[in-house]
Amino acid sequence: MGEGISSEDAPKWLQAFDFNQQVAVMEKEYVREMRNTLLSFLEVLDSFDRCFSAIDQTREMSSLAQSWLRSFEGVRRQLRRTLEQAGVSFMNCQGEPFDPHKHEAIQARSRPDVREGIVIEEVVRGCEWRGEVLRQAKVVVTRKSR
Amino acid sequence: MGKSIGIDLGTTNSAAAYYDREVRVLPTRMNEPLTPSVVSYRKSRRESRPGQILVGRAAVSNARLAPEDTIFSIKRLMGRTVDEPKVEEVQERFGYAIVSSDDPEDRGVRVLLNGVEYTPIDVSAMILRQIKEDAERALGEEVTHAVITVPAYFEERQRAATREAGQQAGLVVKKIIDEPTAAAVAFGIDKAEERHRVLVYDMGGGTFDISLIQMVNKQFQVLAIEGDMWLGGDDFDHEIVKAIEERIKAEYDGFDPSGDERFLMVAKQEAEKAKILLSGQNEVDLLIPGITSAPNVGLVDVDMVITRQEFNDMIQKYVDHSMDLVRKVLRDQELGVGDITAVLVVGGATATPLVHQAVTDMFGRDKVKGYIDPMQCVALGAGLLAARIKVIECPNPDCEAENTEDAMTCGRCGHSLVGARVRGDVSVGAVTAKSLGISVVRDGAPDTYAVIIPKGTPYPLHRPMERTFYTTAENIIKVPVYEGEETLATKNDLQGVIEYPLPEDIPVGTPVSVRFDYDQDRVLKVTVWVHGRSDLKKEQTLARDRPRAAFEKEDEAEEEWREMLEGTINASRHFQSQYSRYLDPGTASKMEADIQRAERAFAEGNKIEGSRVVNALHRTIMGSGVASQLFIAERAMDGLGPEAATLLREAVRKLRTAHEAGDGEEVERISMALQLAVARIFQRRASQTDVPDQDFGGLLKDLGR
Repeated sequence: MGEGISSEDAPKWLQAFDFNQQVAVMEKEYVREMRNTLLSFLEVLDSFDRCFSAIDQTREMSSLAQSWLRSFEGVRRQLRRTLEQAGVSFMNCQGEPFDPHKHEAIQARSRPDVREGIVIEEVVRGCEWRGEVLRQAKVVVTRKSR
Repeated sequence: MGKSIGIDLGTTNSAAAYYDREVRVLPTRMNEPLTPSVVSYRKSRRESRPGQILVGRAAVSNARLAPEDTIFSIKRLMGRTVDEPKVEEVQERFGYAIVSSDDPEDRGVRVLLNGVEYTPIDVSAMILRQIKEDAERALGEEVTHAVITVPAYFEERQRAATREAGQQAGLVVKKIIDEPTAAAVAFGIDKAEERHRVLVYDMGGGTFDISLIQMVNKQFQVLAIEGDMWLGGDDFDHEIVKAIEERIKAEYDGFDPSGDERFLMVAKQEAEKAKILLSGQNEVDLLIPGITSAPNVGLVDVDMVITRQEFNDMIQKYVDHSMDLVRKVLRDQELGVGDITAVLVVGGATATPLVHQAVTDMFGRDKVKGYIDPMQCVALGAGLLAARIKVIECPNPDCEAENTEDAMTCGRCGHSLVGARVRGDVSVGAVTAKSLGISVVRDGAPDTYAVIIPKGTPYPLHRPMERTFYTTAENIIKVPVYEGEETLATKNDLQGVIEYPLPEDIPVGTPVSVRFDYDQDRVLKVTVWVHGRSDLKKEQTLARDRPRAAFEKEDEAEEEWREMLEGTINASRHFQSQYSRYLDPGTASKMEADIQRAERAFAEGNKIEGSRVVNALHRTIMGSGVASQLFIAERAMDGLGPEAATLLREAVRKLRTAHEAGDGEEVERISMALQLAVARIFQRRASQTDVPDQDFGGLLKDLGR
């Protein structure tokens, strides 16, 4: 018998114990805590993404800076992989039709070569966990060309 | 009927709460506690196809793509006409079109969604419908009834509009309740006996409301309201964003990031997080690497500390303004601080310590109540009321009959109750502190507590509450009445037993109703009757302060003790004969000695020795490793279906084999699995409905609701 249950109570305990409900409560608690933890790690990944996307490729960089960049790129990949191992799947929404349940449009832009309502940039990564949206992607979507 | 929920239909966000033993806010389909009060129209990608109306989080997601087709703050437009200044304020702030109706008779506003006119009621109904659906998803059951809250300053037409929105969403609106009243209920103010004059300080994300309410004889009355339609926690966030901008300007050679939308997006998000952190700590380390990039500099990082003092300085002006309004309310009512008996702080922004401090400084620590999540407070109060209010008044002015909450049409005049309303003041009344119910047999388990009057039910009751059960014995009906919340009836406080013999022509399984009436003096009247037999009715009044019948109790205890001892001896003998080889020799010989002690105690009628040895034997039976596992599994096997029995037997066989092979790890593993399986079996057994008839001494059987 588990802790905190005295042997005297056991038969009554067994009858009264709502096993399924206990499991459901524990499961909910776990999911809630895990979501919060994953969300905070995602913010670290966001910072990496912001920094890397701002790198100006046209500018000259010293070999020392280049090697640092490579290593940091490795750290970013490592973080992403760790999140994936924890069950997070990243959306890949560029080129996809806009879906307001998965994406949050932060900007509308016209692009003559792309039809209306298509995600052309994923500014903040969206991801799913346990079959549900963990975080919406923040995206740029095409609007009707004028 | 379906479930009944409480809805806080807010300007910016809405929330739903449900009461079941305790009240809780229901998560939305996005696993969030709040539904943004936003509706947006999304065009189809193919022109020929119709678009889609989005509500809540999805509508927010779509807002940037369709600013002219996204309706925010619809609550500000409820029951208003186009010429009102408030409507103009809304028009200035949002991108959607507000127009007047074509109908010259009707001055009510309309909003345009994809060029189609909708009333504010229509839009609110869309939000309510989504809340209803999400609540159904969270509860796994249909939601049919609701209590909806509105600001205290809402006029009759605005309340009527809110009620209509509820109906349109497919809900029977039990009641429209003032937000401050719902807050008072959440804080339990309504349970107090004394007079109360309560000030509710409600600061949300974008609006600030003060309400002064009076409670006399458990009737709430709103005395005064004040507020600022455009003051709230968003202003606090904005101050932090400004501080971030200042810091960047200072560190990056005057570079001004405020034109960069992505910067604003990240800064606002981080500002809100910092604000929340500052509620619990004295400083926050705001670290935002690469928040934007500046020409000639490259990446711009934010790495700054904001202390609570600095934050307080930023928001002082807003808090001062709010307190000026509080003083104004008191002045207008010619009241002093001492005339207020309680202050409730409600709304997300009141989590900020400076706000709480300002209110406490004025009214004193004892009067200020803020221990319930301020974001959820109103919804929680509405949820409690949704469970408590059991009566719907017929809306037909010539009828006004009271109907039970599951009625869809009036019992007297046949008028539809969709849209029914309760007139006059909101009366919450006294509520029962504990549940009242009886001991029944449910799913073959005796000693099950069936609640008849749930905890928190207002009394005196409008009408008696009753439930129907079924006889389990041919010759007797026994109804022990208890007060309490335990699932095992005998763990509650016994109030009395109603017991009477039955004539022989009443078969087992005959319906029997048990009715409880509870008056203002807390006197419980219990009526038990056999359906179709007016002669088999018994009524008994149980005054709740009556001392319990001591003699009866002692006799019963004597009998129970003997049964317990005898049962334990039998179980121990059985255990010994079947499983002694799984016991270590020390335990086995101690058990034998204990059984002999028990037999002696039984013969001598030695109660103290008897109960001591019963405990010792139970410990051995339940706590002796593999032997106990096997014993419990055997007990679980009784009446099991063939498939489950096979599985259990297989587990038992494996456990025996592992034990004989001396494989400790394997024994551990299997016994764990076995424990879970057994717990599941007991659980499932408890939920089975069809059990063979047994003798339960006349207790009634409950087939569940």
